[in-house]
Amino acid sequence: MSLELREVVLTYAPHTALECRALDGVSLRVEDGEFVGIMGRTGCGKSTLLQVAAGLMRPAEGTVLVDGEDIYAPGYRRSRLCERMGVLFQYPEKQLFETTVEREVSFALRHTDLTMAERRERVCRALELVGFDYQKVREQSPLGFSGGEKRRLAIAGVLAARPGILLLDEPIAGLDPVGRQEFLALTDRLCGEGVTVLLVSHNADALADHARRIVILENGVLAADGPVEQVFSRREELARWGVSPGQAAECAEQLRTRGEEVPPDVIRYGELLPYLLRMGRRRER
Amino acid sequence: MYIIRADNLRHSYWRSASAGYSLDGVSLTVQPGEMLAILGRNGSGKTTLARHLNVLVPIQEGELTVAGLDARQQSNVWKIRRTCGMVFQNPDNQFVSSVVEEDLAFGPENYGESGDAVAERVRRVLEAVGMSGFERRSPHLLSGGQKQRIAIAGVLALDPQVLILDEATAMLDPQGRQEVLEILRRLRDGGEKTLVMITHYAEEAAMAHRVAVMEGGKLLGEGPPRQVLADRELLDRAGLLPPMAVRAFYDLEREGIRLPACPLTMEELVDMLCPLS
Amino acid sequence: MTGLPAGLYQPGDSVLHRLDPRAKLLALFLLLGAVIAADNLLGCAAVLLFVGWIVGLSGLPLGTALGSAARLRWFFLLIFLMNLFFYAPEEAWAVWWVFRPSGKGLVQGALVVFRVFLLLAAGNVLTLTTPPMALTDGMEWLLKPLGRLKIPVGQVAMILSVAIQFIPVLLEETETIRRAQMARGARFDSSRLWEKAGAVLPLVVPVFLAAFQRADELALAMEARGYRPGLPRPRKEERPFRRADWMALSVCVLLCVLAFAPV
Repeated sequence: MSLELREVVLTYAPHTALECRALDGVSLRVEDGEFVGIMGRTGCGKSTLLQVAAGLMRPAEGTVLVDGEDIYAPGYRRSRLCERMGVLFQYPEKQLFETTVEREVSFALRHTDLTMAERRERVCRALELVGFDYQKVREQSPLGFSGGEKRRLAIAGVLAARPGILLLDEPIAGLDPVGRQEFLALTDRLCGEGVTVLLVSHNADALADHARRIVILENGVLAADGPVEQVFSRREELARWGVSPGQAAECAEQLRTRGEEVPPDVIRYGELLPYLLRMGRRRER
Repeated sequence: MYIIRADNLRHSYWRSASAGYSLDGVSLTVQPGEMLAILGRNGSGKTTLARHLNVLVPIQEGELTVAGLDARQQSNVWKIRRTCGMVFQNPDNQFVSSVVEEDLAFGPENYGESGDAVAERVRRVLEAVGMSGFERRSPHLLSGGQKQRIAIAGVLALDPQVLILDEATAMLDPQGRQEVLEILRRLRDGGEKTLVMITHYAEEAAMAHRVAVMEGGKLLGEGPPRQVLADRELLDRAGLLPPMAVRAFYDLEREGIRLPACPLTMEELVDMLCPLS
Repeated sequence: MTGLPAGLYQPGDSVLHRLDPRAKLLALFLLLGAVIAADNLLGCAAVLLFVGWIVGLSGLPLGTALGSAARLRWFFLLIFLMNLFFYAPEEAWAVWWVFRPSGKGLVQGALVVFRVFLLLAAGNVLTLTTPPMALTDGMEWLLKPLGRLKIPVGQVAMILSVAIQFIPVLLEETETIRRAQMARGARFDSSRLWEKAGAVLPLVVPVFLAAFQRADELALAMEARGYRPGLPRPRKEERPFRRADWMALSVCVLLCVLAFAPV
């Protein structure tokens, strides 16, 4: 499923002294099955961008198209959007409220035409994706789970609707390393199955490994948009946008300042290693 | 002389053995002026341990002595809380006032201090965290990193001997994290405060003098960072990942390249591979 | 965040900022009396002028000072209409189903809206110009007589003060959770009443849980900093009222007399 933002403008507290342009003419087109990382300093408009794309905040100007349809057009039905688009907010574990896991995960399916059997099948599959055994947990209370487990339940609740687009706002913040890896592996898998993914994160290492395209926002303006390697090699600009290109890229840069020849598009550990080996061998001699 | 000495601490939130222990026989000592990192994944029991050190949870089993005070005695609890300050994970849930200077004065006032002495102390702790000039600002309107620095200042205002940081950087963006880590580095090098830092980032633990690894309510191992963080088997058992530099060390070793010591940070790795001449 | 939270203390150096919090609280109570009593044109004009005057004195932008009062415009409209249609049914100009608009209702509606608006504005100016902990101490001082009835005055004042501060945070959290549930198909914006009612649970449960969790964490953080409920916090040097404080109170007393005086 494709997503397109055209010249989107959104202003908080318009016509007051506190007026603030959260998005200022942002245009962005994301094709079917793409994995896009969105970065920028806190308050640059990343979360607002996701919410506008999710149909939750009407922009003052501009349009948002999902599969070519304007989602803010008068006749567009919100319920259809919910089935197409999965949104994971920051700390999604906070949104849990139902009495059982089954009800919680199937919440998004309430207004669909699915039969009971189909619903159960979807809930079961969604729980499996995040590593739960449906039979074991279906009757348990979601509120009794630990923080990390609650987040996985919230993710299952989003996946149960089988969205074609996933909008993820800092989904790995606060997770421990293994939790982070598991989540990113799941996202990769869904992306491989054709789901379009937009992921907001400060974690450049994670984005370098998983996203293929990076979008950077600054003060509500699209500052950069391109393949990961290309965006992460624009070092001076990245510093200005408050974005660190990750540990491997930082290391490569340090090596360059010491006169080593490491190309600027070395941004992942796997690409850095051959250069480390080369220097290591030279040191041995 | 240890400032913290825990012996066989055991704790269950449900007060029954069948529900499992969140702390299961932890023994630990901390020396004055030391920086100890407690490393563990979510649910490993590290936060429960931290809350014990400040007696925010009652001691169920085992012994705990803080600055020579027995934590099992109710009469010691307030003295221990004065000795051990604690900074929490969520910067938004620690402020009692929407004016920075009032919030910083909250701790000392609870211990009956007031007037000019408190004002002077507020000035000093703000300076210590690099936030002078923010006296009249509202903490709620600051950035994440600034909020945590104010939270640290609020605890420093009590002039505690020990500062406990319970995942104080987990909810911050990279810039905010750097700001907080910089304050911690300064406090560590000052040597006056004992620091206990709870974290799941191996990279952060690298700055401590000593690292203790927790999993399933137990202490899996402890030692200097260079030993603990290079122990891939230990970290693996604890569900943690080694720092990238450690990963590189072993990848080089597999290719027959042996570095003089295991680097903990990428800076160290760079220094080893191409030293400045 | 959708703009600054309303009612949070704004640092400043106006006359109002410098008044003793106790004097300000007392003045607010006097004003409360005056506003309730004012039922003729002169009284209304006097309290209106007075509130306008303190807003001016506070040095705050008008939008900020009236912020939270202005946000309740729908509520104001509702109480106005209720009064207009139902206050004096026996003197109605017209009858349409259950609605009976009357001249008395019109005046009464306008008066109620006028009073609530002024009180909200005055209360807002108080919290905007007084640091929360100073307000806590002020409240504690005012409530002191209740201490004899074994009411934990200090704790009540602390709870009030902390609660006031958490309102903006909780409002913001509510908005986030509302959007999150909408993204999952909850129909808050549905025009069908039963759908709207059904959508309340997914909002209320998480908001309550979040509020409890915040309260719990804050309580821990306060305890860790040595707060002991029940133990008195040190009195700030109990300085006597200064001339400005007495003057503020006198003006308010005068206003009360003016409002209560029959014309």
